[in-house]
Amino acid sequence: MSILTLEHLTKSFGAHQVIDDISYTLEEGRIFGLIGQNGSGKTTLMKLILGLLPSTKGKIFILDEEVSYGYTATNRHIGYLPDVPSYYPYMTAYEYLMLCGEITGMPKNVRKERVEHYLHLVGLAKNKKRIQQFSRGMKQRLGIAQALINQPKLLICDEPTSALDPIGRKEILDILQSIKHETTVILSTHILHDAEQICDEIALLHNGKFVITGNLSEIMTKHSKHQIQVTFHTENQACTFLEKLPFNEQIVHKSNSLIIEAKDLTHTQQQLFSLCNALNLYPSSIEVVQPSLDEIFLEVSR
Amino acid sequence: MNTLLALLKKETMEFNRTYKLLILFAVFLILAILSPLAAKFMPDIMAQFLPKEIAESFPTPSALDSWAQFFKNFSQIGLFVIALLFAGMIIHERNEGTLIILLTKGLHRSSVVLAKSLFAMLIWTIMYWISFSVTYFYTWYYWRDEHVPFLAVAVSHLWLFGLLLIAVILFGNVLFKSIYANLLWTALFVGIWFVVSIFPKTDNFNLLKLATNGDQILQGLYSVRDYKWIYIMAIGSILFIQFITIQIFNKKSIN
Repeated sequence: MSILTLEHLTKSFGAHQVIDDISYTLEEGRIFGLIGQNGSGKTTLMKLILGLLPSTKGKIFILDEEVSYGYTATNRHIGYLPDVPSYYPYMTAYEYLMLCGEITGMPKNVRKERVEHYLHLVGLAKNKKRIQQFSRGMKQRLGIAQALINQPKLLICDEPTSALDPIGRKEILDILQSIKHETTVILSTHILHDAEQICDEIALLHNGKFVITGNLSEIMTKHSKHQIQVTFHTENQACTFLEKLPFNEQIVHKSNSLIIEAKDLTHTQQQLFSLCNALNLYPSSIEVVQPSLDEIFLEVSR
Repeated sequence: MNTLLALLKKETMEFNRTYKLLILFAVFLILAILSPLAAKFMPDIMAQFLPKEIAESFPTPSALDSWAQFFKNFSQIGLFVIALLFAGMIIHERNEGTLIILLTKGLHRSSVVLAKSLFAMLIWTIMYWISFSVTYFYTWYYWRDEHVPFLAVAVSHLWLFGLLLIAVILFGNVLFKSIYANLLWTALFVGIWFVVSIFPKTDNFNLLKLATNGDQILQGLYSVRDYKWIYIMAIGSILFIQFITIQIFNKKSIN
């Protein structure tokens, strides 16, 4: 069943069109990576889904129920973690989650149970400090707990890892990975490594449009170029080999390595081995390399 | 209803933990104690610095002076402190983005406005009437034999003006993104009524009379009947301002 449907969604701020006629359907049980540069409109798109901003044109549906601007009932299905979550600094994490639970209308006993469960999940169960004393990582973990407190069908996370150190990032990604079976996750990020690690499906937002969408492995296959990396023991060997290369493919020379773009992988491999024999140069390694999501992203964004 | 209670609890916690409640209580208590004390001892203090003939011309202080001082203190300093404390109530939350999470949890925007208004009006009411009790006690203590007529009416007028001012401040909270702009707006509201009061024909409709005529009511110069239209206008204005505050806040985009 589709959890989110965008139909010709458009959003402009004055003459500046941030979202340009996007249509998309997201199925339940996925981790969906919304990827784009800073300022590409990811946060705007999320706020449109949450009914915090009015759309210029088009419709949004959550579980077939239309989102409306202002107060939208569809938010009962959604948990939201803003990019910079703002809390009441004078409260403790427990008090804040109790307030969130009360606003969603949970009975007190259920509220207490859930608050304790989610504080435990995000590793803040024993923390009695006020939020003003929290680190960024702790605030993000609290953000995930508050977003999950109403057990939403859709969790929207706006760049949850962008301001965190590697340990904090891993903690957040692990939590998101662990809840995948209960909640569909939309993860907005410009850290492509994060998306590569946990997303099943991605959309690349560029110039207001989804320029790439779909399953991550399919995207990698579709947009990948065959590249062979040949590494020599010394830089001189790499230079000698480079001079004698018989083809015009794009070659990147990095110290004692050459990265060669191959139109026909098998044929290029044969040529490389022959040349090695002919020159009596034996590389330390020859490997086929996959382009990263970063490279695909840069390629498409150009 | 549950949401409203949750927000009222949150506001109370905020006012308590950020010491706003303590500051307000302290200022109001000082004003309440100072009113009878200033009335009682000011002539003696002034006599220390002025020539004897002038000092002897001062009338003997009375309970009326104590209440005149009370109205002066609370209509000026008291309401100014209220304006300062409540001028950023919603502005701060909009600028900090603290409402975003709660709104995505299904919180109605109207509940935010209602809870903030109700809380501000409750705080004003509680603090004001505590202050009144303190002044009443000291005034009774120093002038036990003096009866002050129409006191309840005069004191209720200033309380009603406080409620109106809070409604205006909350309205400014949804109109502006800066606390200073809101304070300016509140000052403008009061200023306009000062200008209106220049014209004698507006006497029966001038809302400012609720805050400025306390001592004249005590002297019997005005009766409740003179205020009939002002009561209707004040209560009507509070309800109308609340309504448009909610309507405007419902349409504001939250970033």
